Amino acid sequence: MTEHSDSLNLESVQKRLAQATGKGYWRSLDELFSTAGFQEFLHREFPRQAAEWIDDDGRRNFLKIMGASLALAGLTGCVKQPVEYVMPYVEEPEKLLAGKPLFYASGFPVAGIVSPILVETHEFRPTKVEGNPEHPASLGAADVPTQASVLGLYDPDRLQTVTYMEEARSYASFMISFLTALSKQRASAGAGLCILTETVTSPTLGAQMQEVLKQFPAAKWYQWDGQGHGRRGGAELAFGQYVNPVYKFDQADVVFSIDGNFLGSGPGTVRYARDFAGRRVLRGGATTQSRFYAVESSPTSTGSKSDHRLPLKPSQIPAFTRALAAAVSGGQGSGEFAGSKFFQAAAKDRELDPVAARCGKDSDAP
Amino acid sequence: MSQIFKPGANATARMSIILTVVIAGVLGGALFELIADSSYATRQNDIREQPIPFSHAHHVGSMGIECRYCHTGVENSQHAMVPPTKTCMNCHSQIWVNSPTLEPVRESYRTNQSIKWEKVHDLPDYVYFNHSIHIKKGVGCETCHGRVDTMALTYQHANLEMRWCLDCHRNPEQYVRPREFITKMGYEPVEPQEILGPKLVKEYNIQKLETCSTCHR
Repeated sequence: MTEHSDSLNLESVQKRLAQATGKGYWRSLDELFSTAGFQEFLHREFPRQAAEWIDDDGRRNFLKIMGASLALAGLTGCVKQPVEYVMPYVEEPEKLLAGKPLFYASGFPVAGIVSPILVETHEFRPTKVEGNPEHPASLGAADVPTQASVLGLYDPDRLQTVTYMEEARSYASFMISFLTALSKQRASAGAGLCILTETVTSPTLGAQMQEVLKQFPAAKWYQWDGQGHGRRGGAELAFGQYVNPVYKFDQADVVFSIDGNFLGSGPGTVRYARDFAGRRVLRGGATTQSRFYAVESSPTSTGSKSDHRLPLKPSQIPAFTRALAAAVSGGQGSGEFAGSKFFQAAAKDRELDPVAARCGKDSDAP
Repeated sequence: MSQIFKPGANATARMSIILTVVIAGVLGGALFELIADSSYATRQNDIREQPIPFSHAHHVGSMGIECRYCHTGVENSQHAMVPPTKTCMNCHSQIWVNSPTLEPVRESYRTNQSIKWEKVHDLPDYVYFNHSIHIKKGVGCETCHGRVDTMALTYQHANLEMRWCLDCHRNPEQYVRPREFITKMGYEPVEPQEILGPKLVKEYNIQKLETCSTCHR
């Protein structure tokens, strides 16, 4: 076995597997080859001592001592409670009442879109994040990342200070090197200066950035986020400028989503979910439901809510969209999709209500 | 030589073993109860040493300062709250400003460090207790804390055992008082408690909360 050690490549793996007979299970190639590194890992994970307790006497002794110490631990309940202390404030902070939570309205930004939240704090420690019920984009609901964001505040890897090459530095030393670098840029009006930020939707920060660009006219400002670019790029293609689409699912009779996971992610998700669900139940005198079509390349929570769902490859989606556009604008629709059951159902809906579909193309769908 | 042990000896031997265990158990249990109920374990009437020999007898009894002037949380929070140093300094920046006894207060105010009071009423961590609801339902300060206005140094008036809690939770009508007398020390009901109690229980909508999860939540 050891003759193979540390020579992991495709050839040797195939050779090794060809030699194998019967049922030999393995969970990693390292285990299959029983490399020295894997042996060491195994040893660290299950140390030698554990193996020693196969010996019966040792194990019994251990259990005896464990049992005795557990029983004795119970005796500690018979003594007095330890003394505790009360440490009151020197000067009590305003509005704080110890034992009562304090709520702060705040925001949780993802890709420049801020989820309105209420943060519950106990003695100024945030403990829970929930949607802000007074904000129209939330109405008290919050999605999973927003709910989980409170954990980020206690992340041990969260940066506590300014660092340079992974070494802690003071804020003053940062300012010194920052201002030095900046003063060099002044001469060239910022020709060599590029600013990279996440998407900025804050009017205050936006105005401040414009102020900076006024001082460095030749500087460039780039905004980038890991998600949300398809949406903004699409909006720019359609409208000639960056706009954020706001859908009114509470007014839509027919909803048509093309790879748009509007119930699962993206801006306004929680409000959309509420609006959408509001049109799906017959409550408060409502007699009609909205109808929902979903075309998607991977299963999403949005697709699982649809009346008609059509799974398509990402490569098929442009062709489908063109066929749908043709059908909506009065044509018959053509191509490979026109005959499908899904397409016919959608076309029938269009006959019932000519102002039919609102389409959302969303690159955030996984 | 005749047999020393008669046939009945077996039974006697067995019985003696069983009886030994039973008697040891009963005695052990009784001893445990005695210790657990003793003021040694409950710390009832046990005067604690504090950084400042604060006298409720002086501040409440003689000066007549109301409980809620310092214990501001009592009506709205689960904690009555030990007052911040600032509350002491409200007066003691004007009077007794050079008293050596009060040096820890001034030091706390100067250095922005808390005064470290020893907790007098310390419920176990597995008990939930909320001051505000008891105040709202007409349980006076005195009912649990005793005549604080006569305590030169503060001590625990009640034993704070669970049966003591249950006494009142089962028979609230014997203990409640009108809300306007909540903080009154040496309160006497204007009409007999047998008549007033049930009336207040009805008026304040007091429930007999005896489920485990009321306090052990």
